[in-house]
Amino acid sequence: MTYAYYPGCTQESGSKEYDLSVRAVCERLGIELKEIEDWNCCGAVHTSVTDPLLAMTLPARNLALAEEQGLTEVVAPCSGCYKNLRTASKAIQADPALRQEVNDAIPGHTLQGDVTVKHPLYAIVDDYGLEKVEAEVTRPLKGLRVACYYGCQLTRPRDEFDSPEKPQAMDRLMQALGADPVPYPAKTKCCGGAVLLSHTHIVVDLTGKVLMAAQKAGADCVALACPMCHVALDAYQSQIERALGTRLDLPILYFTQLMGLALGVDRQRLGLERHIVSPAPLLERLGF
Amino acid sequence: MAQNNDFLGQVLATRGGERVMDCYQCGTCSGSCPVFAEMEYGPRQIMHMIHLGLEDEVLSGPDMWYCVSCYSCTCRCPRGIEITDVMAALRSLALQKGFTQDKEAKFSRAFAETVRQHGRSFEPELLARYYARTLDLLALLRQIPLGLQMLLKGKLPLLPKNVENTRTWREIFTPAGGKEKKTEC
Amino acid sequence: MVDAARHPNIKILSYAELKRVDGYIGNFKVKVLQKPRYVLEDRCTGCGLCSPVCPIEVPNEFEESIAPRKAIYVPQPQAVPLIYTIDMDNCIECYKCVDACGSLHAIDFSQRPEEIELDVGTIIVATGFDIFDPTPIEEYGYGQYDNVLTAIEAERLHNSAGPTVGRFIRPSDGQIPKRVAFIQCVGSRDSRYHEYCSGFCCMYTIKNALILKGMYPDMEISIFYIDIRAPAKSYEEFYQRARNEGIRFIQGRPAQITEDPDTRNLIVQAEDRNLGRVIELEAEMVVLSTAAVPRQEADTLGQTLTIPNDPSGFYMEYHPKLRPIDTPTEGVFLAGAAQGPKDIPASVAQGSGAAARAGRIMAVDKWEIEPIVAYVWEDRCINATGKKCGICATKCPYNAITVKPGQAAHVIPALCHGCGACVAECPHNAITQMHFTDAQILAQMHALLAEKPEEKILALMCHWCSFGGADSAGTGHFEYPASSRGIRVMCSARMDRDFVFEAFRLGAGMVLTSGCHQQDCHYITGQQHAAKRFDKLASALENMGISPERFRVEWISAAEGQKYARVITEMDQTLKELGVERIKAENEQTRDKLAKRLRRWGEVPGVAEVLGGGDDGSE
Repeated sequence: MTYAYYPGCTQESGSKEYDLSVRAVCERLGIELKEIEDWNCCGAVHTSVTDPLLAMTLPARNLALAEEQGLTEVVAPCSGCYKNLRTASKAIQADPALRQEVNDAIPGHTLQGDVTVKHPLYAIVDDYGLEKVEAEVTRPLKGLRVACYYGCQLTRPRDEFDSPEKPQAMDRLMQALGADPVPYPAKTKCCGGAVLLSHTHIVVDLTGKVLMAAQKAGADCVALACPMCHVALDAYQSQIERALGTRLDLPILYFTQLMGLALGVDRQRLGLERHIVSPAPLLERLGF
Repeated sequence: MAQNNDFLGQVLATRGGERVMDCYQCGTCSGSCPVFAEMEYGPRQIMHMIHLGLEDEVLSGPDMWYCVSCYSCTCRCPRGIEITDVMAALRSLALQKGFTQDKEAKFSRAFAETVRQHGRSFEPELLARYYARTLDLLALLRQIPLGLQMLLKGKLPLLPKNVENTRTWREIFTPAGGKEKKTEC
Repeated sequence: MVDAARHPNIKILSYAELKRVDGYIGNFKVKVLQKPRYVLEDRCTGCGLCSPVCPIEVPNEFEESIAPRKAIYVPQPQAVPLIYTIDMDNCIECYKCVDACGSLHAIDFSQRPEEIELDVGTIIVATGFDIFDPTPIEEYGYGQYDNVLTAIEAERLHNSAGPTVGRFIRPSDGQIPKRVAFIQCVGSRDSRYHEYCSGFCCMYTIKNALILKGMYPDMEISIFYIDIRAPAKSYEEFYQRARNEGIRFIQGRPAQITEDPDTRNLIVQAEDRNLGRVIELEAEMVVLSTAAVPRQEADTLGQTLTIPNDPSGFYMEYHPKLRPIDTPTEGVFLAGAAQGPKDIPASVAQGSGAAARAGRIMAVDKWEIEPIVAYVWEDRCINATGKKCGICATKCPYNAITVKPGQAAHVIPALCHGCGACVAECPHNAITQMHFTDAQILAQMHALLAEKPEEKILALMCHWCSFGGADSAGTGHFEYPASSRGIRVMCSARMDRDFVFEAFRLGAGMVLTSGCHQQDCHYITGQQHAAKRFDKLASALENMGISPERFRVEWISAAEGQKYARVITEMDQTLKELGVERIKAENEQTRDKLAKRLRRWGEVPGVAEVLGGGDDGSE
């Protein structure tokens, strides 16, 4: 299995541990990731404010680059990047006039055919297969109660991979790893990451609700699949604790980091020390 | 009530705004919106205001700058209206009309400028551009503790990583004969 | 129903299925499969001694699976006929029922399915509707949360003959809910599920609310709605009464329902539009007013009866305003929700109407049908010469044509609906349609294109949709250039490609073929034949040298007057852009090729005279 790999801007900085763990886990499972050469920012939700066409052209350049490298399936670990690339890919597939417009606007590259986009969570759960993952587990995450946080752009807009209201893929993955996914009502509630700096109080409010719900459900940690959510839940956790007047102490882990632990990947390769809220005490308790 | 039917036409012409007239004001969107309490009107009322062509009120207002692009409204809308995309279109139209005072408007422009420069995001420059626009020194100072933490954990890059050819890259920001208007970053 | 059962002229075949219908109005031959009940109808008295001793319990369909029924059962206590049936999928043949039945000996396990043939003159379809399953609307939690119910489940709970003997208890703990929230438009008015309004839900919800308020005066009832529809006699007054009795109406479609895991109460989150706030209403029970949808088996039955569906999946009526009870098949009528969701007064009225429509036919010896039927020229049909053809029969949506080896194809006039598909598809021009013959259509075309044809748009339109659409353009004052000339046929299926060739041969500037959208076609599959034909036609014309912009295929409904006007305007624009000179040049070039294609047309009766006295069509 080979995919074009689109790291996204945060993988180099704020969420390097996600990048590290995705690569390490894929290597462990025999999934080949070929980084797209000279990839550019997907635009997030901000860039297209200055020009709506950028919502199509910025992702499309990356798809064209993948195509030039002979690859037709892209995985993008950041849910925001994933949503942008996938939306652009589908819109261009459906509308030849848009394809023309987009290709005219991208200097030096042309998207000829169809390049599909997947989030690594679904590439692993659907393409690779949960039974195979389960078979590869060497150190089951026994006793780990994990709240699976899907956030928004992983399952919305509605797509074929999972329910936007009650998604299951990450929970099933956690079960396959031997962990205990806890049900809680905020699985798909927004963290507010899009307005992290401009309207920080919204993040404190919304992320606070997610963390409180996870805590109330008895979670030991939160698993997620998006760097923006991670910053909100991890880096801003102390700010939220102060605002709510309560302790949360919830380590926020990427699902690939948990996979890495369960699959016996060397801890050093998972970036666990890079979190603001340290997972060390939890991992020690579990014997990792 | 100052009505501008061009405004309605403009929204209808955007990608995602095609079905705005289908709205029958059921309120599912506002009911689903996690930031409804922050907004002045909420997505349902914004739709109605678009129908009525109330351009100034919509574009000068704060609502679309609070939208967190969670897509809950789009998912649940029984008329299939891509409300999140409409909000994005409104942000763009607001910028064109010079409504740039919201902090998120300033952030978006700072982000776009940074990406235009490098091809990828670069947090120090992004923050510099943002705070230069907002001139909110207090907020900048309040970020320092977290910023230091991030720096120590290696989460804050010190040097940008560019695309190979930034000059060619920047052409993507000035499409020749592009249909949709753009604002100078 | 009891009256119907006792009437000497009415025979009820229950637990039976319609399998096949042959024949035509006044002379239908119907095959019915009588499924075995394993109970003898002339011996069972409905005494019910068998049911209590049966050891098998399965979900009761009538009680919406809230309560069980036995393997030997009647569907509901007032079933007509009140005869028991054994559900053999679940029966274990323990014979306890046989013992209980005793000397009546009404149970007979040797029964087999029986085919019954009936000769009937008319058919009325009153097969009703089904209920939308709201499970896919995950944000409402039906199927996940115990205390979220559909309206029909709620009805069974407050019904005195229901599984709880009228105690309106909630599933999770058997308690009477203090607060109940009703939610309207679940699955209706929803482009993700069903676009239409189901029409009766507002009224039944108000009814349910009033019944509950009467039974439990302290119950707090809230109805979440988008609009309240109360159009018929005294409905608005009923709505007012509900408000007066303290039932709360909240305008705002709920965004989501969540459950409190301890109390199993529901929290309904919605924007209360009139308050301008998002509210969270806690209720012990939520009732969803779910859409009325076509019966699951509707498609199969529709095919058996050759009744097309309308775009929402209900049976299509002949004309939605002027003949809402007739189907396009003569002698077959619709009554009740099978034709579209409607409530009891409307269903009963329509039922009486259907009876009258059927009665008219059965009261006479002869019945006039529309004369626009297909007719075979036996001397032209090659099937008669021994060469196997039968293409006409394969295209007919109504099985109105029989083709026997060595014989000319034969049209059963009473089954023919006059779509003309067979006429257009016959490769030997051996079949024609009365009042829409090639000669008649060509005569119109020749007259319309006699002068300055290159400045004209020839529009071929189907009667039901596109011609109606052109009409709508007129009555709606939607202006369009005066360069179009229209020819009406019943269905786009009739639009022979030779018409298009001839139009270009005569020098027409542009040709438009326009019919119904696929889901609106009055003749079930007529439009599909046309679509396929025009597809191939477009490339054939291009190969011959006609610019592709000069031939346009559109699907325009009777309501789309604006679209028709727009299409003609666009075509006129294209016509002017191409210019008379270019069109004339293309026509010069292609005239002979087209004439060659049409050279044998003159052999068809009546055509030669129109084409110009015996020649092969060249001017």
